[in-house]
Amino acid sequence: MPEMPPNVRKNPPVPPESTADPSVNGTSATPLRRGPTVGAELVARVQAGDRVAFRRVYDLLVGRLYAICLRILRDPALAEDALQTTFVRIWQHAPTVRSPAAFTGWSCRVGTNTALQLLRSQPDFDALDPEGSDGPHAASVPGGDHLDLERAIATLPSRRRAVLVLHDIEGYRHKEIGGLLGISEGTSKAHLFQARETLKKFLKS
Amino acid sequence: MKQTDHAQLLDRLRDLPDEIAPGRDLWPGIERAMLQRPDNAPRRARVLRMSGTRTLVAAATVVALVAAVAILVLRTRDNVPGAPAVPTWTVEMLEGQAPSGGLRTLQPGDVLSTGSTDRLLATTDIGEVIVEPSTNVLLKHVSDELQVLTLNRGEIYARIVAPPRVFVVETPTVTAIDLGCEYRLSVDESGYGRLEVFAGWVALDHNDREWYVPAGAVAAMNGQAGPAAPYFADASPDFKAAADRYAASNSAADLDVMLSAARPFESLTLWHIALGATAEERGSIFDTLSRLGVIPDGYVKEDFVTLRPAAIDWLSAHLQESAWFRPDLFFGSTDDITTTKKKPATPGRMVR
Repeated sequence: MPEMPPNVRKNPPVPPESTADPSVNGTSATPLRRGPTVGAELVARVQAGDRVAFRRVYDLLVGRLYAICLRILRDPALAEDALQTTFVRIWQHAPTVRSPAAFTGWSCRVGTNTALQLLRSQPDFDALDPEGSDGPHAASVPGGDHLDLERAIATLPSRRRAVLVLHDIEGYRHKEIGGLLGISEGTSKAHLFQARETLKKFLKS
Repeated sequence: MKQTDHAQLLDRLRDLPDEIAPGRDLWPGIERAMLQRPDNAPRRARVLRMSGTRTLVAAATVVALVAAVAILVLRTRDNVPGAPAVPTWTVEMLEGQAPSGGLRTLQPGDVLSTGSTDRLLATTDIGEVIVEPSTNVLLKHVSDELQVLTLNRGEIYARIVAPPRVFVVETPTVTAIDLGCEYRLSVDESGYGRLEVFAGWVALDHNDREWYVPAGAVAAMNGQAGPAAPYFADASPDFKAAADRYAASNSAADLDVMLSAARPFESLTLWHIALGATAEERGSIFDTLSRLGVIPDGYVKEDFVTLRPAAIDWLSAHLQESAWFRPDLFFGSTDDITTTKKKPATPGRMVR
């Protein structure tokens, strides 16, 4: 029987000893959010094909991922479609995640991209959709102090809304947003400025 | 006042809830979708993906194919009687002089050698491999834990769904290790060739080192010199040309071009180059990576310049899941491999 190919490493890299833990403030996708995280043991079980474990992952992440999808897409039905695709992708590609500590952030990134793909496929994505119309998303979020802000976000045009959600809520950088949306860094900054100005006016009114 | 409004807005955005519950339980739909595409299921539970019609045609013509198939199947090793069952490889003709739709089973030690107009589809429980024309490939080893092909020359297109490091393709100088992916690999007898990854990741192993090639990236294989640093196919022409030249010259001028033309994605190339560069060059590369925003806060430059192993490994793992991970490319296509990948996305390039 042939031996394993030479130099195949099976152990994940260990964190450096003398540097700070960059996972809390680096280029990870979710530095501003603090939702539940999936533990290493659960990740290992999912990577081994354990469906029961994946159901637990679903329970842990569904609220976090639905929030991302809903804020980007505005429409609950579209957000549900994106969420289903997201979880199937996470299930299929979980074995490729090398560092269990990165699993939650990676999952959020999958959810973000899935929602953006769906957003880009919408007929009105390239149109300058009018501001001020109340989106279906607004009625579907929980009430309370946040509802007016969620409603205001939902009224933003698609690109501005996506940039604002990615930058100010999810913590992405403009360079990353540019890559995700196919726009320049400068355009991303301009959309963010316009989105913030719209929100300020909305909240004052 | 204006600044106050701005600060208040940002505070309120940060205070938005992390989670929103969907209006209904979505798990049943997700579970159904998982069952339809059980890619993460244990390998032995997977079923060969073949349509009913294709199976019938294949079964009816199997005997004829064995006699007429234009490929050369050389049995170099006898089966061991009583050996435990192992995953099965089947092969059918896609194009060529033999009747199409034929099916036969391969054993470890079998060699597939295609003529200039032949194309084969080899299928196993962890995926599919198209053997392109003028290719010679050996099925070297098959077990539950490891499946090994030896690509002596030519080109294959592989779509593998398995835990990382189960499917391996040896070439004359480099070993391609599947990390859950879809890719095209071409090579000549001297080990010159090219890897292009369409989904997931491939690791190239050469002389105690691994090169990581993610979806959307290509890597040249330069004979005994091993792989060149991979780069994303959508990098700027200037960057790619400089990277190609640098692989042969290690010229500081080419590195400068790369540093000035790099996007955050190009940290993939720069990280690989850094491992073989001088300490001074690594310092310049680190500064560029910092400028591009891909180095996490708190990461120590000296660790990178001196190649402290744990720090280098840590940064590699971090970049693999941030700057090098491109979700828009990572998941590839779900189309039928035999129809969507009939021709290379880009011409196979032999680098000498």
